[in-house]
Amino acid sequence: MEKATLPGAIRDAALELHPAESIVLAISSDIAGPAEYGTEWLVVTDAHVLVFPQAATEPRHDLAFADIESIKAEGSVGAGAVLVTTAAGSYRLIAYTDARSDDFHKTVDGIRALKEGEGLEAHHTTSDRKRCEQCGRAIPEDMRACPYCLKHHKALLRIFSFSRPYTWQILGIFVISSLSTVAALLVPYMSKLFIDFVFRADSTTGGFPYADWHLWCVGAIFVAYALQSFFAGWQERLSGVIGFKTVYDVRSAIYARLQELSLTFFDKRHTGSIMARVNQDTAELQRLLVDFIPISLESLLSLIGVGILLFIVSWRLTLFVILPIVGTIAFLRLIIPIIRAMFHRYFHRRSRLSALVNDSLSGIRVVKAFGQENLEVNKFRRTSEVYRDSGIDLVKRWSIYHPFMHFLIMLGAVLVWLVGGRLVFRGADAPGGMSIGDVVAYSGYLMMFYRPVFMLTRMSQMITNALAAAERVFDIIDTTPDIQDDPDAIEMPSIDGHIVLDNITFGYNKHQPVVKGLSLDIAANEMVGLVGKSGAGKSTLINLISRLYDVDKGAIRVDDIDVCRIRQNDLRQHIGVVLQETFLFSGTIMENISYAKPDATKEEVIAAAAAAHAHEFISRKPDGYDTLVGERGSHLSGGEKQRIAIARAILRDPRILILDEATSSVDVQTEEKIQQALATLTKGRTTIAIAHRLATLRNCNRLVVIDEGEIIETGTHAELMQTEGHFSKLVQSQEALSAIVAVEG
Amino acid sequence: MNLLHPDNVTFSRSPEGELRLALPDGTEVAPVVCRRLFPLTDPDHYISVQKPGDREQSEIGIIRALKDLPGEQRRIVIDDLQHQHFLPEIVAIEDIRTLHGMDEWRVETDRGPVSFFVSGRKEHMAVTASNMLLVTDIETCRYRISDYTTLPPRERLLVERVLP
Repeated sequence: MEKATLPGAIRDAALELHPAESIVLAISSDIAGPAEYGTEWLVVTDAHVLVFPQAATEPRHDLAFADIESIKAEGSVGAGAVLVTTAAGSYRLIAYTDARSDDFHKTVDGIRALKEGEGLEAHHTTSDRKRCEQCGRAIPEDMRACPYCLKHHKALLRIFSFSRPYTWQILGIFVISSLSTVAALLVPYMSKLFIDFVFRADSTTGGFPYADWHLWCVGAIFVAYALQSFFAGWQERLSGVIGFKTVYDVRSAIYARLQELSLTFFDKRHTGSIMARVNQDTAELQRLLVDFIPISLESLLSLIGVGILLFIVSWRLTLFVILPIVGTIAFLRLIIPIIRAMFHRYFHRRSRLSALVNDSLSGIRVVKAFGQENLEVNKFRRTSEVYRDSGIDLVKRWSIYHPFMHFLIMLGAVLVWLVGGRLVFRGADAPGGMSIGDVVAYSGYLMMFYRPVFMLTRMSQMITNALAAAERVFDIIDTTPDIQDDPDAIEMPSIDGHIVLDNITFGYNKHQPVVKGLSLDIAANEMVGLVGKSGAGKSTLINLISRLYDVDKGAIRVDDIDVCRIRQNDLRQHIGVVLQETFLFSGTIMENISYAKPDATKEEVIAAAAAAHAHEFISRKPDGYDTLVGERGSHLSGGEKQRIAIARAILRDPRILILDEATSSVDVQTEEKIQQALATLTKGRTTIAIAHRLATLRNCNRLVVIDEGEIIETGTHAELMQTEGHFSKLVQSQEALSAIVAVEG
Repeated sequence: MNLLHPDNVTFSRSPEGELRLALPDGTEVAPVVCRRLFPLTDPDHYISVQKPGDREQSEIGIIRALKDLPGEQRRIVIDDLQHQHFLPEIVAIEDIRTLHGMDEWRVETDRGPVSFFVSGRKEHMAVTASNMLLVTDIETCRYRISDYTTLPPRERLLVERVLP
């Protein structure tokens, strides 16, 4: 695994101890000595296992394969260790944190293979640990590429590639923004005109020679304001529309990809984090596209426009005015992290408070039953107190920073009157001098200058967040499903239902097989019951037959064709599933039954419900088939849900039926109804049932007892009971258990 | 609850590192493993001593307080516990940087210095009612801070900036 990076000194020491041998495996740990961080090396030669502390040439352990009775990698909390049993007892060879667990499991598998005289296989020496090839950092479990080495501008460009259909509108936004900025720039200039021109009294007559310009100038200001508002509104509308449309496209793309992905993708990730990608990350993109980019664009344009004008009006004054701006930005950089942390604290406390309320109100029955109302009130008060205090802290800080910042900005205005005033005294026509109108216009521009400056200080933060979101979104969009149709996949419009499992091996983790070289031949229309303890591999078998996962070794054939070569859609078309946990979507009963066949007529649905013995209870409901089942079917009882699930499978009319039978106990009458429904359903289909109920077990043509991923017994119910093997024990213990339940119930 | 009295039992360790326990009746159980029953809230009391089995371990008994064990025995039991429950306590925070949606923590722990990455704060950081913070990094290793509100102001600010 890490043979290449094994320190030379350790390599030499190991070879010196065992000169006739060569090094076959080496792996470094990240725990050393008394369970602290550090490095130790596990080195495996042709016939020995050695452990070296880092930078030591004396091994801590040196064991010959022959002395090892057993060796295993065992996990505890947060760390694990390679445990070895020899004549001297059983002890830890080397310890490692969870980060290294997979690699050590593989290495130990490798040692076992060597010890048995088998050769090493590739999976013993290659690490699944995802590390970035460029920077060596670990890659988060739910991402494919290293987030550090991604080309960040690429993600940004890709968001814009989603905007490509809207190129013209985007150009339009740009033009409109520019027009709006120009209109805004007109206003201070008009005030200069008023002061220096319209309102200038003739010093000799005392009259106003340009008084007739007054209305024209007022008109111009009016139009400038009107245009600015109009263009600003238009721009906001256009960019908002494009933003929403773009994000809609991104969201559709991500959701379509999610539905396509294989279950392996979902196994590795929390539903929560996937949901966050669909909801939060796309919302983040939306903020970027709808709010932020237009505002930044506007800010940038007015920053350039105003900046140029400031310099034109008086570059001397501008040099002075920039000082407080620099000061303000420096101050902002200093306080923004603090303010952000305080806001964060405040929000965190708030969500803790609401979690507490939620928790205690949903458990109000328990609270009352134990008479702990006071305890809850006190708990609430304590949490509420820290929430209050963090709010007060925030307000106190803010009440210092905010006025101070405001003051800094206004310092610019003071400077204008100080420096600008002196320039006025020089006289408007002198070099570098200013008119009163210039100073007023200048003040106006200055105020317009600040807003974009502050906006742009926030820009880098916003863009970083949005980019991270964009990358997470594209990470999903770019994932290719593990299970894909062959380009020349076989179409199967109809099948017989003859299933062959040919020596199949499969594990969710490749080094921990759940199904081990299992073979089974199921004839068409046969009903086979899978029996075994939980964790024996029954549900896994079912997943493999539906091709939710692909087998690692061996093959599964339906009608003598490998399932990997059948079009997935066709295969699933012929498989109907009644799962242990009946999952109903929120909606009506009708919608839930017809989920199996969206174009089913009402008659078909009713017929299916009747066959599933569900029609009776549905027809008694006030809303009949339009009854809302609630979230996950919460308005229905367990037995009702099961019968709806069975009706769903009947409507689908599959050739192969998979029954993952519920263990949950329902009352005797419901049980009978369900059994009748199942009997209708299984007639004339190849059925594979994970069976718990005795009735189902008796109905099966054949029972297959599975343990640890292997078949240990097969036969009919009667045959298996006679042999008094595994199965009869299982039945006896179950009967004993149900007797207890009956007594207690 | 089968309490083991420290005067009646003796822990020992073989040269290779096997942990053994001599019972009052003179029998010796080997190997044994020790587990804290309250690893987070009371690590020094209620230590379960178990005999590892293929499927499940069986408990031999419980040591009420680590401090009741004589020096050397206490040392080897603690050593085993530290291996059984590896949850480093963060004692000082050098820096927490946020880059591209991940937080990089560089910290000092009671098990030595370490740096790690956290992605997805909502799922990977948990705060208990007593302000204990549990952080899970992208390689599923966990770290904890017993009470983050008692950290020095600078470090506390760093932590609060990344709280979920």
